[in-house]
Amino acid sequence: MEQDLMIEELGEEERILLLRANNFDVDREGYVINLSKERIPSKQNPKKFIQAKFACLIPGSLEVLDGTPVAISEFFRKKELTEKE
Amino acid sequence: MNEQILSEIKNLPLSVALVYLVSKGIDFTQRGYDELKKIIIDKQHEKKYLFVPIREEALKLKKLSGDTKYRELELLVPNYKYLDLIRTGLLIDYYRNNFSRENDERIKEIKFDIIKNPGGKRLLKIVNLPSTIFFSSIIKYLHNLKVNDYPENHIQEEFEELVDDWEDSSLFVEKTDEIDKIKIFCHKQKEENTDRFFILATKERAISLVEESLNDLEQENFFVENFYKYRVFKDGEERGQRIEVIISRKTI
Repeated sequence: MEQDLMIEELGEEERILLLRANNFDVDREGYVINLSKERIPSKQNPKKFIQAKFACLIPGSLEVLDGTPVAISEFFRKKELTEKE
Repeated sequence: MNEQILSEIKNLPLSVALVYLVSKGIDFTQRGYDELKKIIIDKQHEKKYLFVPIREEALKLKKLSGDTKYRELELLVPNYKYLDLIRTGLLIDYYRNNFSRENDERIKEIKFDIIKNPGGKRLLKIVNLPSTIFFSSIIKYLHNLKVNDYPENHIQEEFEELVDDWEDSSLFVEKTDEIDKIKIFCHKQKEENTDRFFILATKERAISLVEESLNDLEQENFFVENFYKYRVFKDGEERGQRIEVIISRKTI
């Protein structure tokens, strides 16, 4: 049986610690960076980079999401589609 | 020290373990924390965690997958590129209907974030759509197209057009309006060669005005002469009085 999704909130410091455990880091201006020290662009707006305080880690992947309602809606919609299949 | 921390966090839930580690000043950019990191990653994979900035909001967004209007729209235009904006619009509609200073601020933040995207003005129009009184009329119209076997791509094109022009092609009738206003609106739509337009009223007197104007327009042969058909949807007392009229050149 598939596990239920656990939706939780984290403080900024805990979020950064979790990002660092997943081999991401945060630059001086608070943006998430990957191992190559590159900022991660938002999927909704490639000109916008993801800030640690809004970052979401996708379960079961190493993907970081911009935690806007639009991005979270997209995550749920795709998850719902997969579950229907 | 690590041994003690390891045994402390071993049985803690992930979020509590993270709070504990932060309180102990643990910094994974420093060397020597590989084992602690591994425990955190293992905990992360034990359950399907989604860490979000605002938990209540994410739960609401999840629940909105069951919203009647959202579900209907998803069935009508499953490949519409901006379904996620529609869901976000329903969240905004929820905040608006549950007014508080915090919710009002949140609406502003969400909209500000959307308008910064490329094509932000149009995206904002889409996100505003679920809050408009005409959203249900638009869904009814698309639903009737589907019932009449219009293909999905056609329904989607109609929806995309409606996102852009629903304000010009819809009239909300106030109880203080006159019949002439409704008739002038219909004639203007005909002159502009609009293929479909909407009239809506929610007050008893306004509903009567809409019905009377439809009678007048019938008698003038407005619909027949201009190849329009119309459908009337009327709700009674229980759900709040409401009349929605969809006038279209298509079979609906």
